[in-house]
Amino acid sequence: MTRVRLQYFAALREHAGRSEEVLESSAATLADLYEELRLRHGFVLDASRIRAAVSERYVPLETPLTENMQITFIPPVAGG
Amino acid sequence: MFRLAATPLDPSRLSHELKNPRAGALATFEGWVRNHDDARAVDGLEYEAFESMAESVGQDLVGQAIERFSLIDALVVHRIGRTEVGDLAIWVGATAEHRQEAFLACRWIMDRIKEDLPIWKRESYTKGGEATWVHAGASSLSHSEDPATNPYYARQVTLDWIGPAGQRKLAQSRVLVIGAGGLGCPALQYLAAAGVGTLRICDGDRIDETNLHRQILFSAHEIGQNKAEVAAERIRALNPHIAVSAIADAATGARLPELVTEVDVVLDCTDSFEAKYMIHDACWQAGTVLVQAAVYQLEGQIQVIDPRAEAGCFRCLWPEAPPSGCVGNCAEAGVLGVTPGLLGLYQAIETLKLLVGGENSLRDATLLVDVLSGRTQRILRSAREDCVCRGGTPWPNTPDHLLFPGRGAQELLANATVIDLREDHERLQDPEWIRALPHLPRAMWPALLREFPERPLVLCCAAGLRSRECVDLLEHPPEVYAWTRPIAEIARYR
Ligand SMILES: [Zn+2]
Repeated sequence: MTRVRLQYFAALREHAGRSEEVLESSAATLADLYEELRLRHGFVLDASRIRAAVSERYVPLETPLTENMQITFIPPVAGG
Repeated sequence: MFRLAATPLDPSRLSHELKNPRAGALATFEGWVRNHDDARAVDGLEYEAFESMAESVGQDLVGQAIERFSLIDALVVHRIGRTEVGDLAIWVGATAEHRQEAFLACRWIMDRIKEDLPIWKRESYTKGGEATWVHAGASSLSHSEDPATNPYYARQVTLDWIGPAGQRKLAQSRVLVIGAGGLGCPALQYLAAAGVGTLRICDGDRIDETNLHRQILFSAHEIGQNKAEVAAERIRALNPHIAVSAIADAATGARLPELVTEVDVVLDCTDSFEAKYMIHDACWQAGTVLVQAAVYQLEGQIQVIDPRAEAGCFRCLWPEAPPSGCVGNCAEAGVLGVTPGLLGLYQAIETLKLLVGGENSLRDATLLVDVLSGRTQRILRSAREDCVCRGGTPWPNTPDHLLFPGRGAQELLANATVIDLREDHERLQDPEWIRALPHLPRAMWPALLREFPERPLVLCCAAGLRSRECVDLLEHPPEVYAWTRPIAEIARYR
């Protein structure tokens, strides 16, 4: 199990009902983790439609999970 | 290359100089000496240049154009000395692999030359009268006073970061704000007040009561009026020292590539993915910097997309627009007025940094802003090697590929039934060929497949948003295509 710190942005925050959480996951990659969260929080978008940032940099969703990783999930946003 | 010429110009010889087997297009512009200026009859013009300086400024502009539009070559020849009515005063030619770059470059060069080149003209009037030397671009310049000493800007010129030089740079800058809504209103106010010399405001929408809580340039008694026009009026009152113009049109129309070419910075203040992708693609291809923001409820994000930076384009990060309906806009998801307000201000400061030259620009990052917690997060972007911006594959939005992945528009439209989805009242002013098209107002959309059993179908509307919406509504039936450009543009392919 890997312990990670998550932040949600925009619609993801709305669906998760929180802007951050710390959890333990057995997911291998960010994409796997997001799929897990999608089922848990009822996110509408699948993993191909969102972006992830780790340590203040966009990273591919294939990035493997590491202990204490700080992850932000970002959906597309278009309001104005 | 740029040169001055004291003898009459011969366009065919000039075109010949640009011959190159790699070139697929040559766009040329000819400036002629005309027989009047305002109401006064003119029988000729004398041009005088500060020659060495004109040549170096001209050479520099041509070099910039070649780089900016990936031209093969460009040639500009400006007359000096005495010219008669009908003479060529200037000739501009640009060669490129494709027509788009050649057209855009030709116009860009001409606009710049008018403003930047140290060439003066003296008109001689048929009826006599005082002939004075004026800057050749004088008619397009309205700044008579030095912005650096204008009391309007006194408090900001004092800042080291701006100073007299920065203030003059702002006065010479041109900015296009697309969307005069929640983001556009505050951005416009601060850009105008800071002294951006030319502001263009583009918005085809009318003010609605549900806009007022966040679109703070508008008053309750202006409901129903065009947003760009009302915003321009407000902004002119705020700062009479700048030039403000309104374009009461959806920016996504045919003029977009031209509009974004004419300015230094574009602000995307729109609220749909459709518009965001179109604006982005047009800016990137024109080499114009884009300051892009978007909000969701109490959060927003802003980034600067600079074709000259290393961080890649918007599509490097978000290759395609998400399917509509899965991510809410303001109407669907709700929004607090402060959120676009704050993000619009971020757009204004990023724009000023680009124009004056500041550090810590968002050219290589996205800033996430959470209004409620007051937290911001800066996320570094980087280019994606297989992105359209790196070449190789065509841009999804170039007209021929616009909506018909894998199919040319020409081939498709040759045997498609074209259906107009606009309301009856929108068709009144149209040319005969458009009015002759079968049409289906919004209330009838669900019946489309039953009403029109033939295939393929191409759905059209005013700017391309509704056609996409209708295809989405019907869940993308096979052989039914959305035309995401203005309906009139179909004429090019039929
Ligand atoms: Zn890219």
